[in-house]
Parts: sequence; structure tokens; C-alpha cells
Amino acid sequence: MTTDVEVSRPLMIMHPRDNVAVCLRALNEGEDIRLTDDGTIPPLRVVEAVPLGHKVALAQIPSGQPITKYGEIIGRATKDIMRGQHVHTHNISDY
Amino acid sequence: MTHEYIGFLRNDGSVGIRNYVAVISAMDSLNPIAAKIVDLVQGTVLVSDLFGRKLAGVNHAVRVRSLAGMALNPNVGAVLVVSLHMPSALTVADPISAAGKEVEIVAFQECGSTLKAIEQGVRIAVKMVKKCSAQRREPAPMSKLTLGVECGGSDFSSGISGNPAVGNAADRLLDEGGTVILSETPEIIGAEHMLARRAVNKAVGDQLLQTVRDMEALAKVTGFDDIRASNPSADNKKGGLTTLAEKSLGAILKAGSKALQGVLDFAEKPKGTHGFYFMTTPAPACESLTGLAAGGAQLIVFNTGLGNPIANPVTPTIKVTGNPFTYAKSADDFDVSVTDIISRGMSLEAGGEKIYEEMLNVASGKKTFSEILGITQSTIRVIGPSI
Repeated sequence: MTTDVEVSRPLMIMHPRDNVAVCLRALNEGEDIRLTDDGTIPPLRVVEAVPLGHKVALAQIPSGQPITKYGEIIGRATKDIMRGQHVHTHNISDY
Repeated sequence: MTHEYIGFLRNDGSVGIRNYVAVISAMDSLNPIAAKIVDLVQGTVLVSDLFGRKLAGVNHAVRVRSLAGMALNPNVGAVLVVSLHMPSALTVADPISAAGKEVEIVAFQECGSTLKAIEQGVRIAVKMVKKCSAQRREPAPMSKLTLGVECGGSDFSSGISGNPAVGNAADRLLDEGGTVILSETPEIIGAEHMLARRAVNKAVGDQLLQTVRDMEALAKVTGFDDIRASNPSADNKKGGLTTLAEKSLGAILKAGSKALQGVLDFAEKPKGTHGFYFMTTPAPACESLTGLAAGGAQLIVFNTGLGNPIANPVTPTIKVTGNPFTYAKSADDFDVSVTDIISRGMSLEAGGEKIYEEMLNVASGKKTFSEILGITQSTIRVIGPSI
């Protein structure tokens, strides 16, 4: 996929209840992403690279806890997931 | 705010968004002759399929319901049925005339030759187009519109931009008393319990769960992989989708958020109450679109992440994408772009408004890209061999 398309925001959060967000561009390890304009929520520190279209954790998610996207449970953490970590097949499964 | 569209009033109270003359080939061996008639007569559309002889039981029933359903779609003003002989033509023509729609027949064996069949068909079609083209559009409330929602070539963008924006447009139509049909049973597997929770009553919810079980059983006997185990596919996973529920939730978003009124069989028309319906269809676009068109959808909105060119011959299909990379390389193919959701922070509501605006335009006569180029195909499934 070419990346000559500019993207104005890095993340998309589908529902206020969600504990994961979708990356609208590839995220780099160590970058800080602003989640609110007024800073009421601390910025998200990306702890590992996350590819475009993949999910990043917005909160700490202990092993066994539900993963929520669209306000619905889409899976369960199979490991402790840190805020800012890549969320995919390696650390979640079907609920 | 209430809207209206300018369409063609029918005797049964429905309002078409087009006034097509449909040339229906009732048998595969007559497809080329039906296609010649359509080539020669502007204003006609071809409705054909790959089978037709020696079908029995459910195959026969689904075929007749699908062909007659497309003929009875409000977008069709008159129908020419082309077949090998009179009995096979009447199988399709009878339910059309019984419903009060103008229908004529070209039966090859009664015409005497290929050229004579083409000539007779062209004469009838020309006369029908003249008559249909004289009808004027009149205002109709949005409650007269049935929208089919479809997605294909899905990717990371589908569930976060295109589908929820289409869902927002679907909700706008439902708020104005219209009808929305979601299809593709395999695509809801994994989220069927969440969709069933939206059913108006337990019977409808149970019917939805049953149609999923039936599709899974059919997949099993037909030799497919376990749908639940093989989804999301390797490609889906590469794109960032992790679980089946996540994939299916992304797909059902395009139907909006309202209560589920009923579950329809393939090509079955919703009866009575307007609102949101589910139609059981397989996932391939041609078949799914055929089911929606035969079920009476006058308009389809089709969201695609990676691209998919197809549309149904009797139902104009608005192509939408939310993927800015796809749009950058194939803007021609799309009637609406909601790529700003991803690239410029546009809200899903604004995306939905943009799609709804195009729905109003197309319902009132604006042509879609696939309609202008005639990129259309109808397909009806056959289970097991013909004898």
C-alpha cells in the first residue's frame, strides 16, 4: 500500500467504551499521541510499533479481560496488555 | 427534516427510481438472444442467469422468485420474458402478470428462428420503452424507498469508515419511514447474537440465529471450511482484524442501529412494516445483490475497501469507499467518497450525510457509475446438479 495519502489524525476510537483504537497510520515506538485537545486524558505513549489498520490498547488490559471495540466485546486478552501496546492475535482471542 | 425523491408511481403504490424495461431470459440457452435485444434497444436492462432447465424443488422456486422478483421491482416499468418455449416463459411471466405488471413473451420455438426471435423481441421492447419513457417522475416520500446495504472487498477501512457512514445514512432513511435490508449471512456470523438482541421480538431473533445455523450446516455439507474457524482470513488479519466478532460487527454497522423487524428468505420482499430487515443470502456480491433487487430494493449502497465493480441490472448501486488509498488509484469507480473520515478527521455523521445526499440524487434520476457503463450481473444460486 502506498502512503502518499496524508492522514490528519493517527487514531480512531469507535465508541467511548472501547479499550482499543484503530491506527489510521503506522505508529512508531515511543511516540506520544494526544487523545483530547484539552489534555484531560494523558497522551498515549506508543510502546511498540503498530501497523496501519491495527489496534492499539488505550488502557491496561489484564489477561482474561474483555477487549471492547464498537462498544461491544470483540475478544479477550490472553496476556496482560499495556497501554500503548499492539493488540492483535498474539495477545487476544475470541471471547 | 423530511426529504422526498422524484420517482415513478406504480399501480401497487410503490415508487420506482427508474423506469427500465427489463428483458428477462428465462433460460440459459436464450441469454445471447436476450442480450442482443438489450444491445439494440436503449432503455432496456438484461436480467439473466446461467441455468433454467430441469431445475426442481428449492432450486426452481428460488429461481422463479428471483427472476419474477427483479421484474416486479418498482424500478421496472414493463417486462419482456424471452425463453425457449411458452411453458418455461410462463413460469416466470405468470407471477409478473398476476401482480399486475405489463409483461410480454418471446418464445423461441414459436418464432421459428434466432433472427425472428430477436426481431420480435426488439419490436416489443421498442414499444415498451416508448411507453415507459413517456411517464413522468412525481414526488414521493422517503418511506417508499427500500435500500439494500452491501459491502465487498472489505479491509481495514470498511468497519471504521465506509460501513458506519453507510449505517448512518441507513438510519436517516429509517427515521423517515423507509426500509433497509442487510444481507450476506456468512458476514454476520460471530455477531449474530448482537444483531438478534435488536430484534423486535424473540421470534425474529430466533429466526435470525436459525438462518445462521442453516448457513453453517450448508457450508459443512458443501465441503467448506468451518466459517468460524477460517475467519477472519489471513488477509483480514494482516490488515488488522483479529477476531470473528470484530469482523462481523464491522460488517453489520452498515445497516444502522434500529430494531430488526424481520428475517427474509433469499429474494423475499418485506411485508407490512417498514424498517430494518435481514435477508439470508450467500456472501458473493452478484448473488447478494440479486436477492436484494428481487426483494424489492430500489437502491443499493455498496461500500468497498479494496474495490468491487459489480451492480445489479434493475437496482442502481451507489459505490462508496472509505479507503483513501483505494480512492487515490480508482476514484472513477466511486459515486461517493467518505475517505475524509480517515484522512481528514471527518465525522461518521458527516460521511452519512454525504451518502444520504447521493441516495436522494440517485433516487431522483442521477445515474451511478456502474449504471452508466452497464457493469451489471444477476446470479441465482443452484444447489446440486440440474438433471
